[in-house]
Formats: sequence, structure tokens, C-alpha cells
Amino acid sequence: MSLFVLSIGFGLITASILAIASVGFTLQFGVTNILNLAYGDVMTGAAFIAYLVTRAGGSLWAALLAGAITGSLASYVLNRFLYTPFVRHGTRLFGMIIVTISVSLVLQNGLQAIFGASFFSLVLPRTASYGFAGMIFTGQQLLIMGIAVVAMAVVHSLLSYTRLGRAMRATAADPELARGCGVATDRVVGVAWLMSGALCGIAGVTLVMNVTSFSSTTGGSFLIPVVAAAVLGGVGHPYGAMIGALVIGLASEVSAAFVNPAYKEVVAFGVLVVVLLVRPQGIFAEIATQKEVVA
Amino acid sequence: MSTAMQFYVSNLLVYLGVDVMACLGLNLQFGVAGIVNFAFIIFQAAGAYTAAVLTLGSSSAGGGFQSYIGGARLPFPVPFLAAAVVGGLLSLLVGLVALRKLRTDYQAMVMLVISLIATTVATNATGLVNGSNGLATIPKPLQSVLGLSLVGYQWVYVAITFAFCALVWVGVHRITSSPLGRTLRAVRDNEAAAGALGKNVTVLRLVAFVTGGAIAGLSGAILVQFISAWSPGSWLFPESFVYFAALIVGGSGNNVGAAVGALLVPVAFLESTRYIPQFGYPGLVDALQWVVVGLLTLTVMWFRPKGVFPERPGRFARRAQVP
Amino acid sequence: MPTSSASPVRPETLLEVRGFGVGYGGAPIVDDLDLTVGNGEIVAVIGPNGSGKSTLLKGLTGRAQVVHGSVLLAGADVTSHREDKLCRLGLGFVPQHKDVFPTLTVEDNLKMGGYLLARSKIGRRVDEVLEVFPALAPMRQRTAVRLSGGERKMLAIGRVLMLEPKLLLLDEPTAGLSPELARHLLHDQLPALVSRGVSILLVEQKALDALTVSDWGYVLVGGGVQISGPARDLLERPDIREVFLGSAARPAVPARANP
Repeated sequence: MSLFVLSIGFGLITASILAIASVGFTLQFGVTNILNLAYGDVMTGAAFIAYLVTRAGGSLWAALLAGAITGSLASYVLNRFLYTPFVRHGTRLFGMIIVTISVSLVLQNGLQAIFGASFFSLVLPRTASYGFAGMIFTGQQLLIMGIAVVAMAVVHSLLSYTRLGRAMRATAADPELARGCGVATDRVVGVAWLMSGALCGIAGVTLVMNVTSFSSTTGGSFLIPVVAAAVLGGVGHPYGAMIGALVIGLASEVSAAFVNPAYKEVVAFGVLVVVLLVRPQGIFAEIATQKEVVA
Repeated sequence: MSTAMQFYVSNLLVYLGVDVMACLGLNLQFGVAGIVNFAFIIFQAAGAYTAAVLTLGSSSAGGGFQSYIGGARLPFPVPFLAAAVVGGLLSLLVGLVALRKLRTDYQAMVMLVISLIATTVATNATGLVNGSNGLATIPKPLQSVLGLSLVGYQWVYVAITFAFCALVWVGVHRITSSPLGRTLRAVRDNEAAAGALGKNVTVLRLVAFVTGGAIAGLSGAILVQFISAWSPGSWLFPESFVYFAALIVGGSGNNVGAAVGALLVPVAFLESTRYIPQFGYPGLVDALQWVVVGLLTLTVMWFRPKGVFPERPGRFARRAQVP
Repeated sequence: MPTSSASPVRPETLLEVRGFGVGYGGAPIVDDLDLTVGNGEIVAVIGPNGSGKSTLLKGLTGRAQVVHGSVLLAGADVTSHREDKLCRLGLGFVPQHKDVFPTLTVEDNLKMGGYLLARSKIGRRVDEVLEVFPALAPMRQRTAVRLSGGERKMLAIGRVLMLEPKLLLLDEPTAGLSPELARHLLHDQLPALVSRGVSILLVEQKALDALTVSDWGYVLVGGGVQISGPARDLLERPDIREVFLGSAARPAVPARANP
């Protein structure tokens, strides 16, 4: 029983990181319809920048900020100068998979070439542990959950209550019609990538805050649970992604406690495959995504 | 030719044969049938594993230092054929689940995930495939029978590889130029038409998928019997991507393009550069190689999206070029 | 151009299309077309399939290439302007398909229609538009994808009304609607809109219904205006009745038919 409660605690932390990451991922997909398979590697890039900041004596907050900026700019540049030109050039779904995977390969191995094939850890102060209803969290883990809650609240208010958020949802639903309403869709797409990139960067930093060490492949291997959470919630639906993250996070950590921990990703993978096959539009989405990529 | 040089050349030729076969198999799946099989390498690995255990003898032999299932000591060419059968059966299993009506990129995701699951399971389930250590001391076919010098045997193996490669070429060519091949291309180019044709389409794609999987298994068997070792770590997802890159560079949908792609990307690019002097820290050259493969793919995708040898337009109307 | 004998005086011109040619790179689909919409008029454009009706609309809204000719809206040249510019100038376009944002609520759809309005005005304008379509008022928070066909079309028109357009361009608004709903839309809603000071250019398959509610009609054949005249006169012409009463097997309107 205590093992179960303990694993729920781990699950909540994983779910927090997953939620930040998959909401960012799903926003990119929602607005541009591109499954950005290089997302995990942008996370790794942000983690490395955060690592450099902490090694230079920067605080954790500085590291998070630097990670967010890195993710934001990198995602914006990727979309603006690579993905969008490819889409305008006539590359479709099929080809865009190859394009984003190529980018993933270049980023991951580029990072490895720069930093080396070894393991790194953020230089963080040791914090006390807090017990809560049978679960144990370090101060940093509590911080991760706090960041996730704040990030979700910000995304929610922005999408629901602001003009920009409405324009973003409208662009995701029908870019041509949105243009007809006077929305500068290029600019909205740009802002969406900046925003989702910031989430991506924060997710990268929180991911490596929660592990003892990371390498150039850390973000890439985290991509599958991220995609699983996003798909579970219906790709393009931020609220679905939040719930998907909770489900995947809890399922993988609880199963890790009782089965071989090496298989905890298999659980996430399994959920993803089953959802894709049974209900490809995701559990929480009202309409199936049959759209093409948009420029 | 010096002996060292002979080893070098014969090695490259065997790799070339294996990669050409693999590219032809993937071309059938991806180029012709439009299935983004990011798990391709898994079917090759399964074939390789099959051939390995069918030549290693029972698991307890050799002091039982490696555990695996289904050990036997079968004569050439039975393990090769068994590898093809296993590759095909595994494809049938995966295909039945994954080839349903799914958006292309979702299907690709399923395949990618299957690849990662397979690697995780193979690495952790020690009893199944001896875990991450994999298998070693896999005997080479006919080596003891022929009694040749090492380098002489190398050339025999080149001949065996090329013979299988030729068989695969003829088989694939017959399929791609048959009515089945034309239907598959039509389906690939117009998924709406695919829906109109009905259920039949899934069966046709399954045929292409299973045939491609059998070829993958065969190519894996030929490779593993040559290098005598097998481990989960050498059959990772990026290796699938190399074959995709090869098809994209060579020209997917076209068998000549697939073969040229195999020559250019896996062989000229990755195998031959394995012999260039390493510089920097260990692993730097490998990382840079992957960076270049990625950049090369992006460049070709931009400038020659149909590859060096584009697919020839068929007798049927091609995809309309109007956006 | 042969028109009906009695050409009544039309109101002051709002939209004037002159020598219009539209195409997709090849030979123009719509060629040398003249058309006007007067203030407060409902003008119907009818014609068989492939006559260039939708190409004409695409040309007017900047979705297809204008080869020659000009479009004047209240005297201002708006040739080849894109939709976002047109809606600022008072021309609202309701496409046939993809006319609402399916994942957004009714209220958010209307707010998107008023995207260019000042923030302070949007709320009030949403209420005003919902007064035009009271059926939508209780569904403010409903997602558009869950509306019926008729509700959806009202929402699409309401979205465009947000910017108080002078001219509405409706592309086959009754397509996919039940006969009763279609009649309700054409016979009740459109005149109600006109009474609020909107002029309407209506492109319709249901030619007779469209002509019945219209002031003026244009019959398009082969990318050009074949016949034009007061809608009432067109309705009385036997050749038009015959063509549009569904004798599909016959060829299109006989060339330059004389009554």
C-alpha cells in the first residue's frame, strides 16, 4: 500500500513534467498541424543551456528562464525557417515526418557532438524532503509541480479569455477563415510557436531537475510519453493533453513500482498504440483530425 | 589486392548487398505502398535473431553462457529462409494491427513506438534474447564444409549475398511492375480512392508489408551470419531512418533508386567512413555522421523531393500537380 | 446585352464588377463579366454547374487570380483584395463550406467575426447579432460542431454581420439545408437583413427560390452573364423556368435566347 502511495507521488511529478511538455507539443500541432518529432531534442537543448547556467553559478530560476527562452527561440526558428518553408514548398504530412525526424537527428547528434557522449547534472542546492500523505517530495519536486500548475493556469487563461488565445484557437480550427476574419495568421502561428517553445524549454529543464543525470538523448526518449499524453487527449487539445499527462504519468510510475521499472515506458507506449488504433482522434476530442498541414 | 584490402572490399560488398536488399524491401512498403514503417529495423533484427539461434544450437551448448529461445543447428540455407518467414510473420502480426485507416503520420508514430517497445523488451527480457549482451559466436554458413582461407570465404559470402540479392531484386521487380504494384501506387497517391476501393486495399497493403518484412528478415540473417554477433543495441530506431534516408536520396518508389540509395547512404556514407581515422573524443565522428545524414536528407527533401532517380510516371494518371 | 424590355431604374450602385476575368493560371474560367449590386438590393447569380458561379466568388474575394477587369465597392477599387481587407471595407463573405470555426463556441465564433472591432464594442455587437438570429441566443456556449445545419448557417451569417457589412456575399447558403429551412432562410431571413440596411449578392443552386426573393438576377453560362434582368421578369421567362425546373438532361440555356 505504501509503495502504491509512494508511486502515485512519483506519478504526480512525472505527470507535471509531461503536462508542461505535452501541452506545448499539442499547441504546435493544433495551430500548424505538424507533429514536431524534434520536440524532445529541443527540450534537451534547453536542458543543456540550463546546465551551463547552473554551472556558471546561476540560480535555478535563471536556469528555468534560460531554458524557456532557448526552447522558445529554437522552436520559433525551426517553424519559421524550416517547417513553414517546407510546407509552402509542397511537402505534406508524409514528408513532414521525415523532415522533423531529420531535424531531431541533427539536433540530438549536434548536441552530442558539442557536449560529448557523457552524462550531466544540473548544479542544484540540496533541498529538504517533505512527506505528504505517504508520498515524499523534495523541494525541487514540489517546485516542478508548482511550475506545472502555474503553466497550465497561464495557458488556460490565455486561450480562454484573451483575444490572442481566441485567434489561436480559430487559426487552429480553420486558418483560411481566420485570415478572412482579419487575423494575421502568420503572426499568430509565430506566437504559438514561441509560447509552445517556452513550455518545451521549461519541460526540458524540469525533466533534468528530476533525474540524477541526463545526456543528449534524454529529451528524445521522453518524446514518446509526451506524444502519448497529447494523443490520448486528442492532439491539438490542450486540456486533453493535461488529462493525458496525468493518466500516462500515473500509469507509468505506478506500473514501474510493481513491474520491472525498465518497462515503465512500455506502458506509455502501449497506451499510445491502443489509443491510436481504437480512437485516433483521442479520448477527449470531439472531431477527428483529418486536416492537412497548414502554412 | 592485398589481403587487408580484400577484406575491406568484400566487407563493403556484403554490406552493400544487405543494404540493397533492405532498401528494396522498405521500398515495397514505403515507396510503393506508402507505409511509413519506422519499425523496419525490428523486422531485420528478428530475421537476424532467427538465423542466429537456428545455427547456434541449443541454448545450453557452449557452456550455456548465453540464453535464448528455440536453439537449433540447421544447415544452410534453412536459417536464411526461416529468417524470411519470421520477418514476414511478424509483419503480418504488426500489419494486422497497425495498417488500419490511420493518418499517415499517426501510422508512422505507431511504427516508431513499436520499434522502441521492441528494443526495450529485448534489452530487458534476458531470457528471450540474452538481454543487452545479445548473442555472439554465431557460426558462418558452410565455413567448416568449404575449408577455405578466411579471405577466400569472404568472397564466397559475397557471392551468397549477391545471389540472394538478385533473387530479391527479381521478386520485388515482379511485384512492383504487376497490377498489384500499380494498385498500391494508386492507393498511396490518393487515399480517398483507397476508401472507395474498399476493404481490399488493406489486404493489398498487407501483402506489400509482409513481403517487405520477409525481405527485411532475410537481409538481417545474411548480415548476422556474416558478422557473427547480434545485440539489441545494433538494431535501434535510427538505423531504420538510415534506410528511409537512402530511399529518399535514391528515389523512393523506384527500385533502381532504392539500390542507388543503399549504395550512397548506408554504404558510402556510413560503412566506408567507419574506416576513416577517429578524431576528437570517442563518439564524435559517429555523432557528426548522423548530423550529416540528417542534413543530407533535409537537403534532398528540399531540392530533389523525388530523389536522384525519381519514380517514373506510370501509365495511369499521376497525382494532379495543382495544389 | 439583351435584357428584359422594361429595365426599371436600379438603386445607387454599391458593388460594380466590370469586364471581370478570373482563372487559375490557364484560360480564364470567368470571362468578361459585368455585374452590379445596388444599395438595398438582393441580387441572385444563378446558373448550371460549372458555369463559373463559384469562380466568380473566388475572384471577388481574392481566392482566385483576377486576370482582367475591376471590382468597385461603393466607388473604391477592391480588385484582388483579400478577404480580411474586404471585410474592413464592408464586404462580408459567407463561404459555402468551412463557414464557421467548428471547435469554437457560438459566442467565440461571433467574437472572431468581430476580431477587427474595438474591444469595448465586441460584447455589445454580439448581443445585437444575436437579436438578428434569436434562435442562436440560448446556444451561446455551444460548440459550433454541435449545431444543426440551419443554426450553423445562421451563425456563419451572424459571424459576418459582426462587422456591419454593407454587402453580404452568400455562396449557396441553402446547400445541405432541408427545404423548409432553406425557404425560411431565403424568404424570411434575407429580407430581414435587407431591412437592416444590408445588400446581398446571393449565389444559388435553387434558382427559382433565389429569384423569388431577389430584386435582380444574373444567369451565368460558360463563365459569362447570359441573361440579366429584374428577377420578376426572369421568373416569367419560360426558357429559364424550363432550364432550372430540373430538366437536367437538356443542354444549358440556349445561346442568347430571345423571349
